[in-house]
Amino acid sequence: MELSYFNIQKFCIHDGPGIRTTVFLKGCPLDCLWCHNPESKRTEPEIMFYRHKCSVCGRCLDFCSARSVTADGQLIYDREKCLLCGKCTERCYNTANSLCGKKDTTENILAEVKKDLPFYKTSGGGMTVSGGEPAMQSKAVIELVRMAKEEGIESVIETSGFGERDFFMSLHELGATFFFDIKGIDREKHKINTGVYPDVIHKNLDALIAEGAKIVLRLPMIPGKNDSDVDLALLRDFIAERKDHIEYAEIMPYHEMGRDKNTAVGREVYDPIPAGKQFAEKWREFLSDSGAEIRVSGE
Amino acid sequence: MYNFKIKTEPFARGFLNCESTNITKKTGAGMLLAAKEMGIIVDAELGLCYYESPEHLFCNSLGIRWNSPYDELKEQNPEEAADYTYIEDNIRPYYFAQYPHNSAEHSAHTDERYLWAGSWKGHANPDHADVCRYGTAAIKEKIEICRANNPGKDEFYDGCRMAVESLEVLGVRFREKALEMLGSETDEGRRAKLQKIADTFEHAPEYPCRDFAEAVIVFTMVFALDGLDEADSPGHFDWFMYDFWKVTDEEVRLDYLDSIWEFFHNTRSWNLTISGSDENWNDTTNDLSYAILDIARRKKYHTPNLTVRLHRNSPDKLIHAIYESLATGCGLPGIYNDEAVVPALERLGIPSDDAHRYTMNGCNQIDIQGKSHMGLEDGQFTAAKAIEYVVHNGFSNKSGRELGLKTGDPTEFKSYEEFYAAFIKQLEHIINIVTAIANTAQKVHAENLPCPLRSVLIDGCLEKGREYKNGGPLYGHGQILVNAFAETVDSLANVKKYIYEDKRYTMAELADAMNKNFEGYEEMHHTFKHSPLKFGNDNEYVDSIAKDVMNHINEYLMTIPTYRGGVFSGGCSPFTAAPKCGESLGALPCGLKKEEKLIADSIGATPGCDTHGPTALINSCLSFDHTLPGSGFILNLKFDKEIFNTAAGESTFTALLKSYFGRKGQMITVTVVSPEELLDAQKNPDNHRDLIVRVGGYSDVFVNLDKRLQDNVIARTLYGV
Repeated sequence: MELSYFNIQKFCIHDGPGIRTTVFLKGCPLDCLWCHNPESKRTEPEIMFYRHKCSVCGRCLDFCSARSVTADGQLIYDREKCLLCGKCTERCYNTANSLCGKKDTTENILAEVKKDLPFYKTSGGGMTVSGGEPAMQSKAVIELVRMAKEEGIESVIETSGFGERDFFMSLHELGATFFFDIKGIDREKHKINTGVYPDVIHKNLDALIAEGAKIVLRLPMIPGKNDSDVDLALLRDFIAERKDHIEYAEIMPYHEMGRDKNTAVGREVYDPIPAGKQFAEKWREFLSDSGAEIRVSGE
Repeated sequence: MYNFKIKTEPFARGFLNCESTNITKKTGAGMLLAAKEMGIIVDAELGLCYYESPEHLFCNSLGIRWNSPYDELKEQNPEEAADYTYIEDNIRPYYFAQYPHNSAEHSAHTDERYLWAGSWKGHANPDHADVCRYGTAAIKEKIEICRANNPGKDEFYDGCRMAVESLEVLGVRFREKALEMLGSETDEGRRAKLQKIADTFEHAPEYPCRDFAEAVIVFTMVFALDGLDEADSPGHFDWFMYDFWKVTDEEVRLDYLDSIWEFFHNTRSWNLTISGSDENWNDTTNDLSYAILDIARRKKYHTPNLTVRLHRNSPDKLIHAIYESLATGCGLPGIYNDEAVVPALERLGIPSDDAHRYTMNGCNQIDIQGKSHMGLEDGQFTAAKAIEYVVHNGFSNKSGRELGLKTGDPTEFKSYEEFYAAFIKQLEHIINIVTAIANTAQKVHAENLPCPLRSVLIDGCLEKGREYKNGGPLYGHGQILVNAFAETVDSLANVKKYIYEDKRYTMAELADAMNKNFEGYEEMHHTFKHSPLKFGNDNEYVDSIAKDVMNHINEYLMTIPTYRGGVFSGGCSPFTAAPKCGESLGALPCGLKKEEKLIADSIGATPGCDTHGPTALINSCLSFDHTLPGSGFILNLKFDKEIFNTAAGESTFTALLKSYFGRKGQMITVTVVSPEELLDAQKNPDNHRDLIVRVGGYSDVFVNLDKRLQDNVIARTLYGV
């Protein structure tokens, strides 16, 4: 089976225990305002164009019908006209272009993941499947996780929780750990912030809890979007109800590292203030009242 | 006898007025007169004794040291001019004989600077502590026994004996000076230090030291005399000092450890080794090992370079202490793996018990303390030059001179295999030259620049009646370092892929592009430079080439005998000359332009080319055999400061280390990515494509971020410090 992915990143140490290899899948049904991996949204490959690296040398105009230069010297890249031939990634001397996303078989992906098996053994690490949303390619993901398990590699699934119940249950049966995003509790706000209602997500979480799955809650915290006093109180209570069934909850403070990637894939940039240490501490203090262990990402 | 008018230059006077033609004996006589007359220092703060820098001439660990010509002195003191002329005429030839690489035969190659050999007289790890353990009286007895067993070598033994007597003379002088200073010293602390010196030299160096303070005082005296002006490496300090350490009070021994650490730092001592396994793989870590790690971490000095030896039975506590030190960002210690080094030394024929006694000197050279002369850094070469020689059929791209072999017109090669076969011929040709120069140099050094003190402190010399540089030590192997390894491998990979497999470019085009420094071949340059075929990314295609080349270099070196009675052995470590290798190269198919000086760090990737993180780099580096090279074989791992600030930092580091060493990786150094490097990455992004921004669930490289975001990351790095 094939998977559409955009990166296999080695030596990940923030996405589960030990040293891990993270397979970043392509395709996500959500549309979170603050997305920091926007190149993961579309399932199909796409060109990432880093404007700040472009010197407008014009070399790409020879072979690319999607590009033109305006009167005031700006290079215009028209995504609609792009044929995804990839020549720009080979021929741009400034490396302003990269082709993001490819399809490969689960066997080949696993072969790449397996290269770091000696490190998983010495560190207690393994494979993390991230996204995008793994549930978008459910069958192939289940196959990949099963094959990894046969090689003695444990999996962590980073998920928005938005997907079919069976997908999560199958992965749980394969012993996977879930890094499960909770992006807000209020239904209408969740819809505005992420494009979907949270009902499916919360039901999937509770179904996994009922089965005794290994769960870490991940809490993307975005100043001004999901951190009002009401939001926090709802979140605290939501965690409190489930505190005995999760390993811990991890605050993911908003950071702006995804900004250039948003521009590069032609997506509007969401630009709130980044959440500094003081924010994270305030949230941690508040949410600790839930009785669950609250961590902050990167500490 | 020449009748000197000058009162200075005691070494020269002793040397020249020694009525012998034996150079070892003459040198011993020079040392003895110098010991009687040279300036000495009794340091009441540190409680240690050493020497004033000799004005012009002395014999130190390197042989005769020649500091400056006498022109000025001759002008100022015309009545003494004849003396200086006499010294120049009679000693200078010995000293200047040491540059055989300047000979017509070799200078074409050394001028090109893609190799050098032999100009360095050499590091070693003599067992200075022999004097602390046994005393000079016992050592002199040994000299006499060996003299009796080796008839006809009296003059050699006379020279050795005079070197030992120099220490005795100095001991008497140190005691006198300390007593004299006590007369006027009022500070209690300094008085105690001076008294200890006086007490020590009441019976030392003739007789063994009784505690750690005495051992430190005597060790300093021997070590400083051996390395006068150019201190060498103390060696395995926690082994040879432990018997003294364990019988001394905590407060006193810590005080003297502090003193000698300051002394090592002031004299820029090279390399100090701790821990490691014995011949039964038992761990030897002791509380002195931990005290040394602690003092290195607290003082944060860059010298001495601290080496820790690990193995299958190393305690977790030691690995924890190593981590604590590295987390400060000081870059110390370097970590060696007995599991790779010991087998490498055994391959050279060194018995297991001695192989387990290895220690480090210089930057990263390996010796057997008190038993060998092999870690002296015989030479090094730039492997990528062989690519030039193949493509230009024996001609250097840089100078246009014909320095390589005629391996045939490369446009006639039908396959990559033919190209590779020619490359191997050129590589062996380069190795033949570098080892030939090294051997010529060693012979000249042995004939002109003996070290009688080292002949006493290294086993085998007295027993055989042979000087330290003349095959005396038990093991006389050599060490040749390879440079620009990753550039060589990347070049071969690009040639294989783009010329022979894809036929994207022809060999004629490649030759022309290399001649023109890629001018007019921008597209080819871009393809080569940004090719995914770069060593250090766990890429089978590239790594299989790396394996063949590196193993071949190391195996081939071991077939070439050294002048000193061993064979050569390979290594790969950063050295001051390494950046210069970049200057010796023309444009290369790895995408390197002529003016680019940045070349690979040791066995690692070309800077910026290992874009898949440390696990991929480690896997690539394990593609070749680390039990072949008997010299330092270094992997430098670079970490974001952040990793040391997270709870997972220590377990991550330990896991990387155990995985690398468990698979017989030889050596690791750790560098913490500095804000300066990130600032440089803003200016020269192509050299820093390996910097990955690691945030949970996020994926990107530093150089893809725009200026403002990069600034934020830099601020974060600073914050971590």
